[in-house]
Amino acid sequence: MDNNNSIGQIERLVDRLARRVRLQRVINALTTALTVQILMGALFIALATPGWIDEASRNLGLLATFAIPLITALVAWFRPVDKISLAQILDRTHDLHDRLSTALFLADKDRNDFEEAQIRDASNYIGRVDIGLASPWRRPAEWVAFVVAACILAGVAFLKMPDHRRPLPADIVIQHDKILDDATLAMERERLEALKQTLVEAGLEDTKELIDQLDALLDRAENREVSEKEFLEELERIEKRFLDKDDGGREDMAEKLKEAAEELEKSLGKDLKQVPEAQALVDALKKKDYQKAADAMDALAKKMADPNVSSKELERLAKIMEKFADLIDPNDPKLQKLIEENQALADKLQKMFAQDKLGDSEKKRLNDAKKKLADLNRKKKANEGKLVSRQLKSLQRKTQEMAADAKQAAADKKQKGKKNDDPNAEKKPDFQQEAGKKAEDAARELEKEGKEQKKSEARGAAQKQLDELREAMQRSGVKREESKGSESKDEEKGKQMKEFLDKAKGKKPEEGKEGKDGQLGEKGDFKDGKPKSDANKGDDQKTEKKGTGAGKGDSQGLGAGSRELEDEKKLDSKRVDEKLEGKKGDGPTRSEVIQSASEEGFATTEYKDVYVDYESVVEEVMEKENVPKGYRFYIKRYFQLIRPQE
Amino acid sequence: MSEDARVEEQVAAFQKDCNVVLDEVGKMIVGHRDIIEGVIIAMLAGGNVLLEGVPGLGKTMLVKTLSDTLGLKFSRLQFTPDLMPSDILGTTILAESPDGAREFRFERGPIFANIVLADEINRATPKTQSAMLEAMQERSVTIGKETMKLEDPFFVLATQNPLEMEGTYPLPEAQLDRFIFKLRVLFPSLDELHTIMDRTTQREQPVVQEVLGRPRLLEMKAFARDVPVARHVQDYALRLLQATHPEHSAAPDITKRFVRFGSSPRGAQAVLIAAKVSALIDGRFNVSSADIRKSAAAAFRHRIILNFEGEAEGIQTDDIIQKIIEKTPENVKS
Repeated sequence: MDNNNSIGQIERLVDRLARRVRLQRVINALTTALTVQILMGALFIALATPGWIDEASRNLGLLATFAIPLITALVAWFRPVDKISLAQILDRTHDLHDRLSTALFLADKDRNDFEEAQIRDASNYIGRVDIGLASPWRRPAEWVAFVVAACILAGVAFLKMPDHRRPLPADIVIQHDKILDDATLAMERERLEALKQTLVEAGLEDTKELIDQLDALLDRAENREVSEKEFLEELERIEKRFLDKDDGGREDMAEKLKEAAEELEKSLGKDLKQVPEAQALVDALKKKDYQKAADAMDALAKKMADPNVSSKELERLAKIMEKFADLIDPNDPKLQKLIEENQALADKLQKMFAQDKLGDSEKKRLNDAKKKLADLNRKKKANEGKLVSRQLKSLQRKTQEMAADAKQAAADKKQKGKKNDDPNAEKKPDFQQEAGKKAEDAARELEKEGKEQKKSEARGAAQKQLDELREAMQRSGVKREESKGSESKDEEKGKQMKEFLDKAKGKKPEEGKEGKDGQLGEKGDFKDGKPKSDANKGDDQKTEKKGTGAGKGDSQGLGAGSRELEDEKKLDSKRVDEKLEGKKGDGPTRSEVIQSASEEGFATTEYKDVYVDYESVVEEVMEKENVPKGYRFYIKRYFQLIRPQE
Repeated sequence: MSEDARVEEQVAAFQKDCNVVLDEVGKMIVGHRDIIEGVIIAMLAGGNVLLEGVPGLGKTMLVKTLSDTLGLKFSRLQFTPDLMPSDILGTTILAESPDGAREFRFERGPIFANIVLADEINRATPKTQSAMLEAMQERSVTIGKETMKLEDPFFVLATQNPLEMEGTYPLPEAQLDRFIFKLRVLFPSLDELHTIMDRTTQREQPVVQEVLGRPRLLEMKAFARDVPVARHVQDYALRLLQATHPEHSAAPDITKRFVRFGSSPRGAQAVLIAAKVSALIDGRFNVSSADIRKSAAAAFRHRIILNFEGEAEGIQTDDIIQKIIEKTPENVKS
């Protein structure tokens, strides 16, 4: 047999063994690697189940573990195998005394006879070789570990791992001290609703936003999300944004018109009485009621445009209007007077200065007077630029034109009466119609002003509400200090207040609670201080446990009389007390109203009237008497609470 | 017969001749098959053998029988403290020639033989022992200015008694290293003793024949050197050698603990050459790891020097070699 062939056979044997060895190696390595993979997988699952690692990390980790057996298997397969060593294994296992390994060793050498003989000798044993004997399949050494790891994995996958996570403490909620007690809050919300109505009626812009913001602020106060300081700051911000608007000296304008009206009444009282429309205008201006003034001006316009009006009447009207126009002074008379005085002083001192007769003190006076004069002039200029000044000028101009037209119309009418055949009569402009138009323009202007006035009043009301909210908060703070730890009481009070307010609005009390008050009466018709005979007769049709039956409710009515109250805060030092000659009506006097309310038996006076009189009396007392401020608050608050609901 | 076939026949003849010698010696020597084989291996490997055993175990008989069987010149030297080197190597004497002329003539000593039995070699003084060194290693003897080659084959078989240490001179390491093998002659088993009794107490004594002439021995000796040794087998032998050295990283703990000096490279040479002969005796064409293991104990045991702890503990070098063989893998590659 050719020795090379023998060597080839030996090499093939060794290669077969190598494959087998590699495979066994891969199996062993895979077992180990899978054991590691399973353990690592179990670790990842164990970590992920209670949340030590997130799901993404777990999946990534599990995916990474698949690389372990793969890499291990590849390494095991491709790790070099020494052929001589494999041949030695064959020799050992078949008791061949290194015949095959020596032959393989000699294969690549230049062989002598002895070596060739050795290879021949080795080839005799090839047939005896059993690869399986040389490398029997063995169970991987780590199979027990593998089984154990698989059990661990199953355990980890199916058993619930202890969770290290504890419930997190609740988020820190910053809860400030209660800055408004529940009762105050309920009442403020109620008032906010009323304010909303007022603002909507006044057509004030941003009403919704203002109310929403105030509402939100109250919500935050109720939920204790806002501190006292923040509350006040927020109030201030709202105030600045919505209410802190310059009314352009509208009050000054009303005052000036009022003064003009009064002056007009003084000087042309008789004429005015003969023109009821003009009288109505004057009365309205005196009351600073632009709306009524506009209505009166409209009536005046109609009269002026009326072709049946006599020339005499037109003349009277022209006279009144002329006078009124004269009385309207767009400039500030006081300021003007001061300017004149200072101008005179300055001129005088200047003259003396020119003659060098001034001492140091006079020089100082001169300088002061100059400075003051400059200031006054600047002020004057600024006033002239103001809206009021412009509007007054406009009104003055229109009144003057109206007067001029009326005058012209009267003259025309007179002429018309004398010469009916005036050829130019047709061509002449109709001054009467012109005057009427001017009057209408003036009426529009007044109407516009009236609207603005309403807005301004609404703003004032809102401002008042904010002020009261501030005061309420301060009071609430005092109370809070006094009654610390009695939150349940506060809640109770708040609930009571809410119930009270609901009842006041006529809402049905909650089921199961006994109604204490009767149903609200229907609106009264309280005109000219004379109550209707059936006023206060409640229409108590809804079932209430304690109701007294139809028309006999013992609660207040909701009559809305037309009686108007003077602004109690208004102090007019210039006012001249006059005895008003009122028309004596059939209605009761204030004392009668109060007295009747306190009498036993059925109510005979509408609640609103009782309330108004009571409140006015109490306010008078508070003004005159030395009532402690703390008590004043409670009195005010009391009247706010018992205020009749619309 | 082809050249190749001749090798196979030679191997077969080698094996056969060896077996014949073994059988022939076995007629006289009961048991001790491994000792006889060891001696033959050492002889064919061209080395000397130190036989260690108590007196009366047939050491001298073995050597004598072997020389008879091989048809070699045999001389026996009984080493005693007063034995002089010249008693071994020979001396110059004044001799008268037939014609009456007198001249100095070198009278060869007993060393000039093919097989020299140095009986109880450790009883001679170191001076006398060292007289054996050149002969054992160089196969020559230098007397004065003259060096004389010893006849091939030259084979020294030394014996020593391990018990009687009094009045002895332990062989120096250098001389020990000259012995290829140190063989321990053990006490025979009961069956062997019976056979010994039977053979030695009868009227007729066994007679051995010369079965192998000197030329054949030399031929076999040369032929043994041709046996190929694969690198991994040789590597195994060398790693065993390294493992006898306590300072080597591959040395097992027992070596590190009890060995002072390991074997010299001569030990590995002895192992390999002996393994070649073993392979041939076994009828193989290559040296195997098993041959290496078989020769290792005899080749290393006298070359390993124990340290104080090893001596004190009574550790046998055979135990150390056994452990080394156990701990040293046949191959280091996977």
